[in-house]
Amino acid sequence: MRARPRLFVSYGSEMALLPTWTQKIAALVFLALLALIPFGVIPGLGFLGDSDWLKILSRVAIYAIGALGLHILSGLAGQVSLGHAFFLGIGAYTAVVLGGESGRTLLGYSLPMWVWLPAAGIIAALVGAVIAPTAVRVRGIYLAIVTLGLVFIGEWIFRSAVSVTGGAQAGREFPELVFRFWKEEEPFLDFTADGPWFGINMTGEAKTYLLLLVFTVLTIIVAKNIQRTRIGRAFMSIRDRDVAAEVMGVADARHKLLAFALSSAVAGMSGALLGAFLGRLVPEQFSLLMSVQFVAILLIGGVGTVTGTLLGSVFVVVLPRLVQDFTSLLASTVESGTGLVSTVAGIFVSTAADDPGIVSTLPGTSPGLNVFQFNLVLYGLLLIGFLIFEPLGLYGIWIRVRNYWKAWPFTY
Amino acid sequence: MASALLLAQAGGQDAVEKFANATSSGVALGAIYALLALGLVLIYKATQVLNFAHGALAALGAFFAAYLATVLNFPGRYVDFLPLTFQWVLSAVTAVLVAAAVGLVLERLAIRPMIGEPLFSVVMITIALDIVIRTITDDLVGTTPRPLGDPWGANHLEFGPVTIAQTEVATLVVTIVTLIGISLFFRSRYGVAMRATAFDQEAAMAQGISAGRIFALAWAIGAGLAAAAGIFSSLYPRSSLGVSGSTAFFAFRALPAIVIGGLDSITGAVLGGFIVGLAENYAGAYLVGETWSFLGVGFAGVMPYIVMLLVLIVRPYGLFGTEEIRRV
Amino acid sequence: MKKLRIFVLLLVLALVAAACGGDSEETTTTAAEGGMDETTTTTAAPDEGGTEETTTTAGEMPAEIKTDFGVDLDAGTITIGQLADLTSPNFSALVNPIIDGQKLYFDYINANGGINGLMIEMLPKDTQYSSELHIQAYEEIRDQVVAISHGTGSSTNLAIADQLFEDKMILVPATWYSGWTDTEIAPGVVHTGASYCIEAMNLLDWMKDESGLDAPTLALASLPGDFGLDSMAGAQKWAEINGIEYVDAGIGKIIPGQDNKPIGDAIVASGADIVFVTAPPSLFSEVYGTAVGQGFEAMWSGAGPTYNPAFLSSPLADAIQRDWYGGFYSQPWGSESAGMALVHQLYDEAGSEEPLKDYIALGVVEAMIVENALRKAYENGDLTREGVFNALYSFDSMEFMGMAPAERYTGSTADQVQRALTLYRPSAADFAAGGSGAVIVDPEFVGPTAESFEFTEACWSF
Repeated sequence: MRARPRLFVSYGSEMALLPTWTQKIAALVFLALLALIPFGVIPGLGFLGDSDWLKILSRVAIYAIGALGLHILSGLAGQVSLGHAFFLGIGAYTAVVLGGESGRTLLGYSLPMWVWLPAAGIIAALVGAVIAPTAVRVRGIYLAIVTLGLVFIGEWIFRSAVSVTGGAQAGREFPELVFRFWKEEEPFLDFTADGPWFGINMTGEAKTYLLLLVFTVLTIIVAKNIQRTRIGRAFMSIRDRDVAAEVMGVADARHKLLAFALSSAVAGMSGALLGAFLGRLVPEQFSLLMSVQFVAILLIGGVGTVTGTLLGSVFVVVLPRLVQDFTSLLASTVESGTGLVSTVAGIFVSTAADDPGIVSTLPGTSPGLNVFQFNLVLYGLLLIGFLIFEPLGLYGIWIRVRNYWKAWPFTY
Repeated sequence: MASALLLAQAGGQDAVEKFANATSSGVALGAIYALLALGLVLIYKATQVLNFAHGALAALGAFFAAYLATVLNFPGRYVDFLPLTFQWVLSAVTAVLVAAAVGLVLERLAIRPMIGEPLFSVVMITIALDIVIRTITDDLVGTTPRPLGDPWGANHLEFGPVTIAQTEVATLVVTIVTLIGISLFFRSRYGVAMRATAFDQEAAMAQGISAGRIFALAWAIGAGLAAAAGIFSSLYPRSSLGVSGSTAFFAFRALPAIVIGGLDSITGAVLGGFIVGLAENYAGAYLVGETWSFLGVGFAGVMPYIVMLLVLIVRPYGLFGTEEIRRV
Repeated sequence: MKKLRIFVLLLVLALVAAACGGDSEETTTTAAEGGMDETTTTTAAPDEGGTEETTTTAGEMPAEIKTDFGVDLDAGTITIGQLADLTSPNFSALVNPIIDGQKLYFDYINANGGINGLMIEMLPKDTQYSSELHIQAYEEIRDQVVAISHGTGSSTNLAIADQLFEDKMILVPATWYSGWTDTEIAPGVVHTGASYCIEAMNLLDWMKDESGLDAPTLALASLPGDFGLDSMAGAQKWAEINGIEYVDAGIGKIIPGQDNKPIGDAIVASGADIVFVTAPPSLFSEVYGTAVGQGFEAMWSGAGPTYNPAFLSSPLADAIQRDWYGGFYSQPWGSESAGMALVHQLYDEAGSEEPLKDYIALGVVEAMIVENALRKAYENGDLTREGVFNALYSFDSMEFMGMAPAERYTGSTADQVQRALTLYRPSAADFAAGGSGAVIVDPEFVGPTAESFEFTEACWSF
């Protein structure tokens, strides 16, 4: 009998992450494609292999890992949290103290990556567990504000702990993405240097991207697995009706504490990777703005689904680049001066000092928004649009598209 | 008076003066926070939405005031027989009304469609609004801060040991007048309707109250209050240069005020505002110097949040908030 | 509702299509306007940087010009990048006029034949004073530009310093951290003007002289980070060298988002004769306003960007004209140099209304650095990034048409340090008359402390 997506003949297959062979193969092919991106061999998407796009994709991976952490807390366990940036910061600064170099005023132990990366997660988890009892006492909007307060308190701690963070506005250098066994001179695996691996010549950006891809896939597997275990179901029951869950035997406070701890652990590791990837961070980085980005990722992608979280990460990190390219495309169509599109675009874009328009592409100050302000406004408007018109986010759109084609031509 | 005996600094002020000044500026700062908190709580009570865009609205209001007073001189130029102070006040009032109109528009376009959506989304939409409004306000203000053209400048008044800036006196007067106005409003027809809607929306609608109108009114008043707070936060001594890109971030400092007071309590909001203002000022005045250097950089700004956390541990719904009764 | 959903979907798809389309598209180059990156995709071959050798039309110039990135000899363009804080509240107020100034100057060069017929194009990117965006933006433009004429922020520039040196790309920073002069730190980042550290020494020498006191008391406060702490390091060294006592009223304690009044109170409590505060203008106004409000009178100064002519239209106008002793790295608007006359002319012709004119002039000076490097590189026949890099670092004395003191880019750290600073005092009358509100007291001042100070390494390190 041919397999059907909805026909499960055993409990194991019902619980499986990729039940049918089609899904298994599709997932493998997709992974293979992702792994091949740095080599620029995919037709039509070859530009993704450029080093600046690889850097964007690496950031997508790091933000995806962080967002999956928030997904565990907010998507699965339903706890509104605006304090995610705080946990990223804790993880990042644990990593830099353990893995970074010591300086005149800076603490650092230069330990290898297999120490600082897990430690970032563990310490962040402990901090999350310490914070949880207070957070458990409040609900709804109060929780949102408490977690907001966490961000501000975190900013204060990071500003003041100069020997750890380097101080406000100054920051410090982070350990590199290299793999050493202990503190030897030559790293066993260097993810930042250009050079051949297994005979294939790759740039540092490509190697970093592949490493982060591996980490992201591991995090996805962990997140999806949590969803189908007892703990995941407990989280989801708390999300839906926490009083009822308690009545049914799901220990409310304990599970919320677990949710905070798990979420912070993932966030901590994401923060450590962010620091290592950027090479240098200032404490102001871990601000409300970063927390908001993660919340936006979850909401745009679709709360409560791992696929949604991934789609959201891609969208939020890639969007600024898309908007930039879009506006420059508009500007160049206006200047080439032909056709309907050009005239319409001309109303919006101002290309010279005397040309009125909402957006201006001139460097420096000029009437109207500059491209980067336009970027921000568009970001906000798209967020609002998504929230009003598509509450299920990009995942909802995907489901809609998929159902349309599944039922085609009977699409009513 | 024990606090007055703490750290008396040599030169400049003695202990009594220092305490008096810390208190007076704390009260003045608290008045601005109270205005912000009042607006936030009003919006929350009526529409169940916590308005993260409040700061952006405050900055926008301050910009309107600066533009009306210094660039357009409206409506000052039509009433130039009145003293300058009055003309400026009229411009400020106009700015507040324009901001209220903006609040109306926002409610209709962005908040009305979100009724019934989960909390997460509603929080996010106000954050997104904040990004949009803040960026547009930044662009309108321009790169240099804009002075508001107020008539008080850096002048001070002295009452015994207290030296208080004229702008701070104005802030206090306006806040008190506003509070009286709000409490009178709540006795009026629309005020009672708003209280009813906040209490039980369905029952209020059953009585013929239009929930949509109430929402719009709440947002208009809230935005107006934000604008007033924004105007005062752009004057000396908060900011001698006027309204700038950082004015919008000022409002986040008022969030602890509403939590301490309780999100759905008007009195709580006002009290919370004053508590936060005083706490911040006392922390800034006394918790400085060598002995307190372990507190690091910028503790005074974080103190309200710590006070908030302590209050929440003891009373999870704030000092005056109503406890939620949840049905399963 | 359904139609709106479809609309949103189409909008998203349009954006995606634009990005994919935009990258592989080759569009026409725009002449001498600030275009975006599409214009030079012809030279941005991603993984290979080849050397092109072509003959040039200018008679006395070398027959072959080497290029790798950012220069398109066929199209006749040179692309120069800017990594600027254009929108965040941190420094956009100062950076936008700088970029304006650069644009004015590059347009002027282009109108007068460019660099031997090659037109300069600007490629600005907004980095919002964030290291993350700075790194990302650099990654985007490094294969499309031959030099970077502006980089906002010290920690942001340090984040890409290694990459800059590897690419042999020069970057002109808009910060005056003393580390840029130090040849050990960030060799690709070009130093311009007196560093914060030397500036502090000069200003304090001047103020002590003006005060007529033998042992004035000093109060210090600042922002954290290089802007504040490098400046404070200079002030502290000055105090040490001259045997002056100072009061720490908040070194590294002035931060945005908090009430900075207590620092003003501490300054008043110290009763100092001279106050040296380095912070952005909005935060400085809180501190200064508090002190003035308590009737405090002293001589005030701080690093250049602490002051903003907006003070002259604020309630503090009278006080600031009485108290402020200012310094700047290039000459303010009222300078009588030939260069400033040119800038006035360009400003008027463009009909610009930007009020921060001193920063426009600064932008012109930054642009001149790049222009000088480009011309020298052209003479050497090497317009590769490394060629421009080497050209810049071969200048024993680079001049700026009198707008700023000459800079030296050869030799050791001690050789390259800039000790001269322009001194000015604020004047509302000058501002009202269309100037920048700064009346020059000494265009190139070197105080005794700065003169004899042995500068071999950065005054303050991260």
